[in-house]
Amino acid sequence: MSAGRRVALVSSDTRARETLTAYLNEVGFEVEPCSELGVPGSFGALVLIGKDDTVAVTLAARVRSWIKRTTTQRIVVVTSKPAVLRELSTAYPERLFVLAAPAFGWEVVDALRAPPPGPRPHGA
Amino acid sequence: MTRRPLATVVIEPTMASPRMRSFDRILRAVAAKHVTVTFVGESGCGKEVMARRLHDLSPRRSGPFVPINCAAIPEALFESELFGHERGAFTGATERGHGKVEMARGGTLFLDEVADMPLSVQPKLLRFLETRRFMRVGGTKKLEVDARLVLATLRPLEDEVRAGRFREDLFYRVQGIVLVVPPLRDRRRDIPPLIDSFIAQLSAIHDCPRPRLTRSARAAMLAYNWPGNVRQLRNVIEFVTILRAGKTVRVQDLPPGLEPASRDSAAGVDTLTLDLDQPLSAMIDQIVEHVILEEHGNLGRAARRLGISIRTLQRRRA
Repeated sequence: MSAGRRVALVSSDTRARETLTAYLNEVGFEVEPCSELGVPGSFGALVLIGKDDTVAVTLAARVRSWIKRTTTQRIVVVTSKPAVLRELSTAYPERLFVLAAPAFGWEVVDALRAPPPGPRPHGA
Repeated sequence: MTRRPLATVVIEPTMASPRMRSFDRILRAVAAKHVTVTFVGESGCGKEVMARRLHDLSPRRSGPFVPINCAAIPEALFESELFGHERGAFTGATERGHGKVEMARGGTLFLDEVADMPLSVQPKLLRFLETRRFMRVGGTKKLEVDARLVLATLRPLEDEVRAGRFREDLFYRVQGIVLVVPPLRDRRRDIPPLIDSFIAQLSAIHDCPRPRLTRSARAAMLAYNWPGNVRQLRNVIEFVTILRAGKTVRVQDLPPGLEPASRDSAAGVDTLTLDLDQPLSAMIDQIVEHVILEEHGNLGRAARRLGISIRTLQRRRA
């Protein structure tokens, strides 16, 4: 199992966490489900499943802190408030993937597997 | 009645109707076998979603699912898109490019709108399917790929063969098992969960409060014939989500054409055709759903009309 396939799945929504963990395991990811994330750097990718009642600023702050505390890890967020992450996803298009809830499990997989955007042309 | 909160992540597509539950049973059986599958169905009925479901149920689920829309690629680029190209193969090919076939290694290659594949490319696909080997455009080395092929088409491929738009030899090679994806009007019980799911998702996408559908608006949507299928339903929900954000959606707020007066009653609510080859329980489900539809979703009235208790009706639908 490559480090890139080790995924931290963070959610306080038990049903979503269990469902997605089982699905990601089946398609070949090693998943560490949790409700809070301690050391984000030890995973190949981070998946955050927001709950409907998640406060927008809390969500944005948490994602911003993950981006700061990691270097290359991909972060996939499923949320009913994707607009609050628009600025961040524009700033980090190669690392942050935001999906509007409800999302299909395979959309999370596609985001985890998506190739990084190609090199930017010189001068861009 | 308390609605179950919507899931944030869903693994299975909406399959509340007897038609789709039975379709899913077939998908499960076929997914495990290494056979080519062709999905036939009207525009917008969810062929790609079903193809993805098939991939997820198959032993190839840990491999990639690579879709290619044959109708959207210009003929001149098709071969390169499918098989890739070597550096310098044509003007602008400054790097080696991997084609979709190569990307699907170990997984599923989904050819959507396959009837629109240019005739000039069809022999190359046929050769690949016979040998599982191909060359990139401008390449000299034969490459081997193991990928499952899944196709989708609006019209049966036999019609395309007869019209001379699809090669007969390729047709016999690719057809495999043909599965007809039911149109939305034949699986009306999927409409309410689809409505709820689209409202949640589109309100999130457009960053606006969810609209609330009145019972009569829901009933009108349930009774409508949906010629554009799930895609049309999604478009209608997008319309009301944006225009009635946070407000109540009445029948008159629906786009023109969805009002009850314009229902296609012959194909929709007033007649019921039963396929006598299906199991008795499926026929009973169909009758129950039909009566609920005619009673605009009122379970009490539907139960009275069916001569059963509301509890029995609820158990039947659970």
